[in-house]
Amino acid sequence: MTPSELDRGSPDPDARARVAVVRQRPWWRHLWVLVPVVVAAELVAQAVVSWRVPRTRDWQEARTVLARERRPGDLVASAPWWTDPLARLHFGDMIALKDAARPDATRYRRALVATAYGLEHPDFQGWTEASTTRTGRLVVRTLVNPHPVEVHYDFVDHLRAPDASVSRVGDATENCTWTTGEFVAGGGLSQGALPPPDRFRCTETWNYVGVTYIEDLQHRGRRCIWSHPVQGAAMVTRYERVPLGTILHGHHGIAYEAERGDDHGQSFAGPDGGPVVLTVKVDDTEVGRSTHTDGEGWKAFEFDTRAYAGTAHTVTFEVRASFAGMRHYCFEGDARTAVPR
Amino acid sequence: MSEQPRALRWRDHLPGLAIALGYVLVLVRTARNLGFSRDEGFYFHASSEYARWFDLLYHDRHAAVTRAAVDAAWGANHEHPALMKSLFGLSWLLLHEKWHWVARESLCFRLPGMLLAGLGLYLTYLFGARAYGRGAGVLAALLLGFMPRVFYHAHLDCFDVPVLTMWLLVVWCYWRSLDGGALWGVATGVTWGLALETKHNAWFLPVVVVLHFALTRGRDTRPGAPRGSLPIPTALVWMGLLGPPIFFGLWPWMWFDTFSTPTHQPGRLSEYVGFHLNHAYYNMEFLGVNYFRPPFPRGYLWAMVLFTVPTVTLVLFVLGLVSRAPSMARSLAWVLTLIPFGGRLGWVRRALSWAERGRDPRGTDLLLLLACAVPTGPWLSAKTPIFGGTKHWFPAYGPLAVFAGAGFLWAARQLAEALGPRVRAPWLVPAALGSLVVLPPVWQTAHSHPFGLSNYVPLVGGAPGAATLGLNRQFWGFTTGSLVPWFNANAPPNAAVFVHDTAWESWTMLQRDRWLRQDLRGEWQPAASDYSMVHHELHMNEVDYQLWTAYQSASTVHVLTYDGVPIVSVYARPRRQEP
Repeated sequence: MTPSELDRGSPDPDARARVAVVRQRPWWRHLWVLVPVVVAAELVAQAVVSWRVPRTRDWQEARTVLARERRPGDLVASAPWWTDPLARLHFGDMIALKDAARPDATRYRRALVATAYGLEHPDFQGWTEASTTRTGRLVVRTLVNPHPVEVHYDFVDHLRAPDASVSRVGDATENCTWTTGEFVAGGGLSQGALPPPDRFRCTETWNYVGVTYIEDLQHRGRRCIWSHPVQGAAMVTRYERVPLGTILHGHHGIAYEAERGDDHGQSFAGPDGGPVVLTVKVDDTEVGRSTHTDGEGWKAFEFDTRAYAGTAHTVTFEVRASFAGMRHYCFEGDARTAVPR
Repeated sequence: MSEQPRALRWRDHLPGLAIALGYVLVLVRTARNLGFSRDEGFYFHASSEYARWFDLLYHDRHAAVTRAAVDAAWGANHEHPALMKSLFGLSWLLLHEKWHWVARESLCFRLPGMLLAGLGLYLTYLFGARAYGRGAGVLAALLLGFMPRVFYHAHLDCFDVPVLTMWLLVVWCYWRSLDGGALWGVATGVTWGLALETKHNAWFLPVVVVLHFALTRGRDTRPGAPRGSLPIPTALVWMGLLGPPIFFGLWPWMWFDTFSTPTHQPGRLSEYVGFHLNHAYYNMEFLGVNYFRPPFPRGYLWAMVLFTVPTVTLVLFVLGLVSRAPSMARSLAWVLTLIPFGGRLGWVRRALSWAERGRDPRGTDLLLLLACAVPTGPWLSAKTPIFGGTKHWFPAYGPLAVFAGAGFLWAARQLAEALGPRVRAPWLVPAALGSLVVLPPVWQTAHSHPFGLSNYVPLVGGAPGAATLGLNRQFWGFTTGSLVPWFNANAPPNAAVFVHDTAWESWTMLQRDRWLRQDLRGEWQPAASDYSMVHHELHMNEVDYQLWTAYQSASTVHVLTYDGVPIVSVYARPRRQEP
């Protein structure tokens, strides 16, 4: 019997009275309904949260798919970005250090991305999905770069003697010495990027040029060439016989804490926070310069090298800053040519 | 609902005591697999120093009170007052060192905090039961205890849950003093002194008392007021008389150079005040941004409450607040008498007449509202640090839970009315609804352990949703404890482990407790270690990248996860890496 039937025709006068009382209650006295509704919603949501978590076997199955699908030059990654440590755990042998700390994803033609929760990785925005394979609660997506390039020369890979040389050029020129296998001292919070075991050592112990991994302003790890500027001189890194393409593509940035200031509220603006200028020369002719200013983060640059494409030249990177203090500066670059699709 | 507090008989205390006792037992039981936070490590050290001083005091009183002895012992961690650290230390000294009753040293240090947590739940029950009814008290205590963040902090030898309890204790004593009992006024003064000695949040308590008295009894201060000859509450007088002496008396560090040094430099009190007024901001991730200096987002507090307190608790809190709004309006209605010629206005007369009917002269609801709101006040400023996550406004949670209890009682009554005489046993509806209501908080809390700081409510998608939103995943490095089984099983003999965010004393406590293998060595430099941990917090990503340099590899060998979200990554030196 429905309430209206009860109201009209129930022989039970108490029941009729009850319905009448309920009907007379103001709307806000029915708000108690919220309580069981919210309880039910929370319980269901909690169960759903737990159920959606990718299991270890999902990652292992994804690994099998990746091993089968991967071609030389493919990038293996995961999405969303916060799953990256899990990708490096389960697919560690398929993610080289230089891939984990990539400057961007433009050099890769394809990316195989183990994807959880249907979320995207920012590196692959605009890429085309070629295929998907579900492995439990993960989906392995094969993404294709819509603007592929051919990389002829990676300056980070070649930062070693004799491919490269480093000098400080001021009133006098001072060459820095290539050393290998040094102890990587330091580490821990607020210690910044560590000096790598292989590096060009300059006169002061703190001053070196080497391949390290910095935390950029977006907290991403970037493999790059540490080249802290010095007061009153240029840090010059020089490469011989570089096969050039149509573009010299690269990035530069300053390690996170040096760029943002410290957590006592002190900014490094002013003498300790000035811009850093990167000048790129081909055979001593400037092809471009990019100035990095605090707040710009991991900043991209591209210089036109079509005049030199297909031939080998000397390429020089010069780093200068009017105020060199706290300029934990790092750059990377490659010589490339766009590939027509 | 009657507006008069209910006198509690001895039997009425039993549910609160049972909840408190049960909670402490659960805390003791679950502390076993909860690693030690950074601050706990610092307090292990400081408490041990204080305990040695107490031992000296017991054996040689004159030697103990010399400046040399006081400075040697109480110089450790002198930026925070001494009460809880003294209790931590005494607990360890007596239960472990002298009587050998408790084998686990960490449990001895943590036990006073756990007992204070139990007391906090008991007080919450008392407040709810006396103000609104036993059902409200029971639900209030349970809803407070089963807030995942409160549950985590309740395990620790830290001050955040103790000050939650002390805050409520002072408010309780003040509330009782409004009935006119002189002893409750004295108790307010004593407990405020102890609260000051617990944590600096207590300096805001006079704001609660003064505001409450002004809003509810402001009329008594007018010339010719009908009640009372003393226009300030006696409790406030006792707070002024007893609070500071207890604060200084129980903190030996403050006994020397209190206000200035012999060279006329600012003294230790200034140093204490300055430390907290000029505290480093540290780092805290919120919605994908790492905040490390002002301005901080003004919505941080509200969002974090929404993201971390079980949603049903918040819904009940709002229902409680709304259901108690008429009572608060009655307490405030006297303000209408300030309107010039208000007495001639019919609506004012009607409002005052309505307010007088059933008005609670203690202004209980208003007091609870102030006790809930004042602890959140500092975050109205965009300059207040947010590094503590939710723990810094914990004192608000006791009153919040009491309102949630009131909201529960209101909902149960509406449901009972809607069901009418179909339900014959009057206890059945509140019992059934109460059992239902605690399910989500209990589940969430149980699920949160031992990752209390990584837990977020299902409303935001739990930990994975929070990671996607860009909310802080943890702080204090305590999740090292969850890696102990892995290190014990996998690390070769005498392996060195880079401990990252783990405080040294927290690492060594794992071994003092015989939880972590004795042969493993803590290490500060990744390159000198066999294994390295990275506690995942956004601003600590740099440590990941340091390891990439030190080990020349980005491969992890183990990732500790919570609901699939990385909490700690473990790296191994390549030669140690499993094939």
